[in-house]
Amino acid sequence: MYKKYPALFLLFFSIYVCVVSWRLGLGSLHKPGSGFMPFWSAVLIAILAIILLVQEIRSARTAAQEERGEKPNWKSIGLTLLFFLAYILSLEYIGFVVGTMLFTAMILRVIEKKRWFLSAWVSVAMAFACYYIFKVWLQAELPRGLIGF
Amino acid sequence: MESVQGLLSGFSVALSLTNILYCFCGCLLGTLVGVLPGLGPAAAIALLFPTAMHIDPVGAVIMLAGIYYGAQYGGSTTSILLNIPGEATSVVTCMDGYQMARKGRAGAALGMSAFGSFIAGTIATLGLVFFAPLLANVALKFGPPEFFSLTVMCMTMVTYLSRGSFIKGLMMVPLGLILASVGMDPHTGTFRFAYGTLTLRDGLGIVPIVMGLFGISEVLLNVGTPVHRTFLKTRIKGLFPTLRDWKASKWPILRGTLLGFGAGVLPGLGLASTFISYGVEKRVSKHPEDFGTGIIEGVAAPEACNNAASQASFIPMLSLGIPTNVIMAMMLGALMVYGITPGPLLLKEHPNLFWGLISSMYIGNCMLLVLNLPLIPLWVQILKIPYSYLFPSILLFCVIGSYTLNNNIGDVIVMFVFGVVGYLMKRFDFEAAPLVLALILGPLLEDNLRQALLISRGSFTVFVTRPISGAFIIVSVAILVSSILRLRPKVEVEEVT
Repeated sequence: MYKKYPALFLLFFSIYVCVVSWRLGLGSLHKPGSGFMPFWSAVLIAILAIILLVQEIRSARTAAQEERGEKPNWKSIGLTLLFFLAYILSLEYIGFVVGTMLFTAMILRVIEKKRWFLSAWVSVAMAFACYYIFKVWLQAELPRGLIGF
Repeated sequence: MESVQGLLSGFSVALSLTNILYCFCGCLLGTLVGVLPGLGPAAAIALLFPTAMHIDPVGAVIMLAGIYYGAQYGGSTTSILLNIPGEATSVVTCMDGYQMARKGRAGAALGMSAFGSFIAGTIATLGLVFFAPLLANVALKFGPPEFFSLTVMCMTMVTYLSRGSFIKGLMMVPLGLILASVGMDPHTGTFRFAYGTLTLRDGLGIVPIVMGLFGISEVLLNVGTPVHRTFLKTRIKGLFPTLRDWKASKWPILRGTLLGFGAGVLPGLGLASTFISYGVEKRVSKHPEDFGTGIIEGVAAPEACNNAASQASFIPMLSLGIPTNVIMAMMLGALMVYGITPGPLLLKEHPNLFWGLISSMYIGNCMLLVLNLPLIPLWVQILKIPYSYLFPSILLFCVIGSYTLNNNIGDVIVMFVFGVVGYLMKRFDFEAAPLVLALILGPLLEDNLRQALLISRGSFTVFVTRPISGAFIIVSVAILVSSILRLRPKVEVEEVT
């Protein structure tokens, strides 16, 4: 039953894009405007989304839906995403090294259920290894944060 | 003759110490990401993208290319030892490779896949030397209508050959085009879908999107459903195939090479060609019933095929500026960062880069052969790193890769968003490849469409009345019609694993 959600989402998305592109201006065939390409792309998505929606509804009626593969571990996925987002958003404030240490430690401890000592040790090693490889060796710019590294 | 001269000058470029080093790094890294499931060459190239910008374009392209064909070598290792394909193109190798390993012949399978890849890679590079300049000369006659139609054909083919529902694949193309239009419109200067943010004003970067769609989404998929790996407790010995193995494999390797070469030039055929090659071998074999039980032909042919295809896919990218798969799209993106536009004029304007890259492939193939066989025990050790430690590192690499591109946290957020999108796409069976291809070809498509319409004063007939453009359109329409009539070949990947 979840299968029709992507088609529905894409349908609404395409309508939104159509409206925005229309405002940008379609121009003429002789001289297409900024909205020309996105507008017609969105129209195509809308048509295909409707076809897909009809297909999904039909297949849902005719046969019992089979869930694909094993059931995903939503808790782990959710927590990984949460930590990852927090890490990304805080990078510019706490800096690469501290942020990476905290992020890796949380992943290892909370999601992978490693012991505290091991999680701490691995996360410190990972953060400094990345810092050394990318910042010192490859001379890439990494988020400094308020403490400078 | 011109080609031979070009190749010789290319060797003088590729054999410089720094370029050999870049080639070596590329090949080594490529093999590593090929070995590690979940981190493919697309994500690896995206990761090295920002770093590569610090070095000269020739060295950078040599290194990035090395990652691509190196991954083809590495992908077979996991297929044979673990029954887990490191790369999508190594899926077929699982069938006989893993069975050979179970029979205690892992060494011969690994050895033959390395030799087969080497032979195929070398022959395909020769083909590249002669066909790429030829195609570039033809393409010099192309105008905006031809390029538009060619791009359309390329996108339709990739969609046609992608797995799963055709409608879902087809939807990804316009979605990619919409994403490509984010940022400033070069024709009018207006901002599209930028919402006043700096990150979106510059347009969506290819690197964050590829990292999200291919790197992050894969991690989420594996965190959600843990992978159980069983290692074969066999000692790997006898990496050099026996005379009997060679006798059995020589024709499969040659057939695989030819097939792979032809398929590599065409858009989207890379993955399917390995399946076709396996099928062909089964059909011509005197003992087809033995396929799947662990025979050397079943490893040699698809391995040769995937390597030839990866080499051949450089032809349309270099000579037409049209990438036929995601990796080539990334390479195109990398060249564009340097202000180099691949296409018919590349050979004339940057002969050093063109021939240097091709020559480096010969060197790379030799390196991989020498490098791979003795290093197989090391790759096996690396495979034993638990996923618990591997996946935080993949996430870290993706963050670093997308941040260092412009030193902008906005790009990292874009990567995060597309990671979630990519995960949902995988759960709901939407293919990412047509989206990425459309995203990269979008600006080219739009530009050529607008120019063509300007030339024709708003008439769409220009795409059909010009013969070359018309031919491309006919092929695209034929593909669409055959999909509607459900004549599409099925690429069954799942059944192997």
